[in-house]
Amino acid sequence: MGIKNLMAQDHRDCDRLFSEAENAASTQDWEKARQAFQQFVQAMDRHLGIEEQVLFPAFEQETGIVTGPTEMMRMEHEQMRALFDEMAAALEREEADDYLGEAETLLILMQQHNMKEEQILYSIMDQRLDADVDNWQQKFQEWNRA
Amino acid sequence: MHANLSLQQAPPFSVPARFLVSAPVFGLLAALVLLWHGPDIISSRWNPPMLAVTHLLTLGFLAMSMLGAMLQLMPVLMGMVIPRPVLFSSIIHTPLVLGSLSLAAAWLLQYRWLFLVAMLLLGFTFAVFVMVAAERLLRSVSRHITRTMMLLALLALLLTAGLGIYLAAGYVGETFAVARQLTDLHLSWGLLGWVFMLVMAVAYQVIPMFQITDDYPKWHQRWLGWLLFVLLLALSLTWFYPLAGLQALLGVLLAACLLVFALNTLWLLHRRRRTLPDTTMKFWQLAMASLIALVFIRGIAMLAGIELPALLTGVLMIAGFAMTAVNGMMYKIIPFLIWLHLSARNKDLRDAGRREQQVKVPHMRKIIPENAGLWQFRIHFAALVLLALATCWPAWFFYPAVLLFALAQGFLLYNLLNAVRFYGAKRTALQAVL
Repeated sequence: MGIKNLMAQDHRDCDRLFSEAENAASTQDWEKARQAFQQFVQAMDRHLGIEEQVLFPAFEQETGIVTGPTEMMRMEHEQMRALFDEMAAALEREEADDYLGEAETLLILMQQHNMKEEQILYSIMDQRLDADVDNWQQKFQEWNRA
Repeated sequence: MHANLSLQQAPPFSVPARFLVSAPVFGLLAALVLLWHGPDIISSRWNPPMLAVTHLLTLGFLAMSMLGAMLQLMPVLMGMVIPRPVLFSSIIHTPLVLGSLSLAAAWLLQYRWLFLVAMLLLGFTFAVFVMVAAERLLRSVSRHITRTMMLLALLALLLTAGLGIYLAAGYVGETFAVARQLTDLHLSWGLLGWVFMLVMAVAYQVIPMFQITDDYPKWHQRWLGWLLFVLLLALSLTWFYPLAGLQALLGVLLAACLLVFALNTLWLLHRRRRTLPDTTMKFWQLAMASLIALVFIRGIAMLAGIELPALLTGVLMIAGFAMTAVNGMMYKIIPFLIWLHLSARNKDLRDAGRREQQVKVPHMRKIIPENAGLWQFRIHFAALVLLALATCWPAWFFYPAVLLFALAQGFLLYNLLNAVRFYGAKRTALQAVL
């Protein structure tokens, strides 16, 4: 268990919420879709926030690399947030094809982003940063409270 | 240590696009050659025009799209960017196009010197690609099994190309006999070691992620690729020490690899969390069904002592499995890349403080409509069934099968070109304001 396993598990949990919202939207169950979408965005906000404010700064401090992979990851986070807005707007209009199209775009963006994190960035973090997962979980909880 | 690490999103759109758009053009050319020669062409896989068709598909469609997809995927999966990507992709794409065309023309026109041209062009393409891609993979920090399997697949590609060049030399000289026994090794390394290995390596990543399924079991990921590679090595040794019993055993074990992968993939897809009927997933299911059909038909024929039509296996493996899997992937790769590159242009505008001039970036379903992909899938599916039937009863099924296959390839080309044109128009609009 390390940062990689911990954060990869969080990716899987977000994926599950994503597909719940998508499944509901594809059957035009808008009430359920809105609920699941809200849960998904909350989980994503937490995940992206932990990375941007806890993990990435730790990585940047340890390696001295500020304009490298973490900058790219932050940019992709912005792209994801823009797609959350588009998905929310499509939900508001109850337009299934638009919601599913925006959702599919997000899915691919998010998954290729996750691959890069899980196979490269988190691996380096596991080599270079504190290996104790309990410490990290505590830091994440502190961040969550703040 | 991480000096080469870059998580940059992607090479320019033209890098993968030129490969992916070229692929169905070669599919159409293959169909034209079939139509030109008529049903007699499929009486034997040794017919020179049939060899032309086979290589238009394996080189022009498969190698073309797979090299293009690797150029796109390596930065994403491995964090390794190929320097000067536009230049590099031209150095690979141009000789691959010309080499595939000259090899097909060499068989169709029976010009000896064209074989020589093809050998040089294709030898150059594969040697350079394998060298550069292997160097990048070896230096990647990724320890995912996909990296190992991509390296094994590249090695298999090199062996396939080497054997192919040796075989082609048989057509060039007067005294050099074509070594037909080696053909089986050439196609085993090509279709199993290169194509099947690479599709597996990519599936391990894209199926769980894009269809939201469980991962392939650990033992499966860790051992199947190596097992396949070792079996192919053993098969190559039986060429020097021909033991019929051992060859049969290796054949059964190779078939088991195909079957395990296909069944495992179908099982994962069956239990996927996304319930949305997704066109790419249908392509995956059809590709796996073709593998299963291939193994069962060959198994039954072997047990019952029936001789199968010469080209049935080829239809199921090349068109049924490999082209289907690639075709499905294209519907994810092309629209997503267009979205990605248009979004990047918008970011330039935002950074320049000209937020109001941004263009709304359309989602993927606006770039290739879901229905366009779905109908192309249905036609491709029908074409496959008819092609398989045509290998058994050419008089009945040959023309409908080839016409439908041409239609499926034309439809794929139309869908891809439409998407590229859409990108061109939006990009021009964005450039005008930049």
